[in-house]
Amino acid sequence: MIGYQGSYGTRVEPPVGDRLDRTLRDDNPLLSVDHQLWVRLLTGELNPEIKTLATRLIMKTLATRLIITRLRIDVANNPAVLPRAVQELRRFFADNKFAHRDLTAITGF
Amino acid sequence: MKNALLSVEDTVALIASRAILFVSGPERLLRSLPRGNWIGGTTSYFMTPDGGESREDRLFCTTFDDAVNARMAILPPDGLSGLTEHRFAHGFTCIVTPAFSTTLQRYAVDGPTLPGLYNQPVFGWVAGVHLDRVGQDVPMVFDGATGMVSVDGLAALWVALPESAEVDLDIVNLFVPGEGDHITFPVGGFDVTDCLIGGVPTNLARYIVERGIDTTLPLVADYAGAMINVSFQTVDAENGRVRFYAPVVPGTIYRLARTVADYGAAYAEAAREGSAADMLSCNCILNYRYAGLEGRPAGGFVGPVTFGEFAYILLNQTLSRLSVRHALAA
Repeated sequence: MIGYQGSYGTRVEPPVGDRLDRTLRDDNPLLSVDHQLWVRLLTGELNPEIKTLATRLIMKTLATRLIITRLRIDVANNPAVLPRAVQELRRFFADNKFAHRDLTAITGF
Repeated sequence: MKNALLSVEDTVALIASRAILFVSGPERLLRSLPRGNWIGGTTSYFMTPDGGESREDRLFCTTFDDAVNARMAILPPDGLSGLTEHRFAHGFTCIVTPAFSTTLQRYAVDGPTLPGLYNQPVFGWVAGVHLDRVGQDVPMVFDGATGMVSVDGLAALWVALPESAEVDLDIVNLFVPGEGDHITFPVGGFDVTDCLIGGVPTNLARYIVERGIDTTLPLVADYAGAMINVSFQTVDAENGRVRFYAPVVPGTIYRLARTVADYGAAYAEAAREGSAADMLSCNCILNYRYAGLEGRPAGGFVGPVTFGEFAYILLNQTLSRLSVRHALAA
């Protein structure tokens, strides 16, 4: 346990190996980046946070809620960023196992 | 994770034991601590099991006894990307930054778009001062490892956890949107003049004064099911300006919050699913004041009372809570 030698004003360089190095693998089971579900989600057409009689699943994770909302706002303010937003959201689910339950709420399977 | 409201002597002993700590309390006490594995920030208010209280002789210490490693630093306003770059592969980050600082403003605006921010919990709060000494005392943050003190940096504690540990970061917000019109802002920020209310261009400050709106209630936006507040700091009808404690965001739909009938009961309900005393939490000084939390417990949640909270992003009038669970061995 060391004090990190990077306090205010000093260059901070993380130790080798501590950087996140996660990339999407070809065998990742996530929906493809061009699946319409991502677009519907980020344009607000799809709202898994709303409980209905048919759907009892609901997003639980704060991180998922925040990133989806941030990306929705980005897309609402500038529709041209939609492809980048889709990629970012898909990468979030690929990188984070804790969000997979939320993904189930979104995809329904 | 263990929480305790301690004397300086007991805190020094904890630091000497090489414990990894997140500390809050008065500046004088924080300055007296030795170097060690801790970060801290100023506050004079605490939530304890018996209720909220203001203390000048105690430090609130959270010990991360689940941690397998830790590092800490104070990041400058133009170095906030370090927050996600320096974290461990599995763990979480605690942060604290001074109220009214450039860093706070920068994080509030730019933090939500930091690459990978949402991949790992970021919990924290905004350092404050005693309410009787706002404008006299200055909020500060501390890096115990280097002994550095800052009035304008972001102190970060990166904690590594064993793979068996799971971290949960969530919020308890007692406010929900009321029945009033949608409010949107063409231009975001902490200071605003004009907005659209029900789609009609309106000066927000004059609207609030003319209608006698209770500004102890925040604006609330629905973030895909998470209620996110923006609290009023000042309303200047003469100059037509409103200042908030967090920036409003263009493209977001806000509504004035509905009145909360019973804060105590609402916190108790929020704590129902787990032992709040085993979590690290922080609650907002505005809830402390407006909800009359002094001397009244808040569902068992304990921790510093702060000038703003972080659960990834800057929050207002919200309780932020962090817990660590261990998976059972097979």
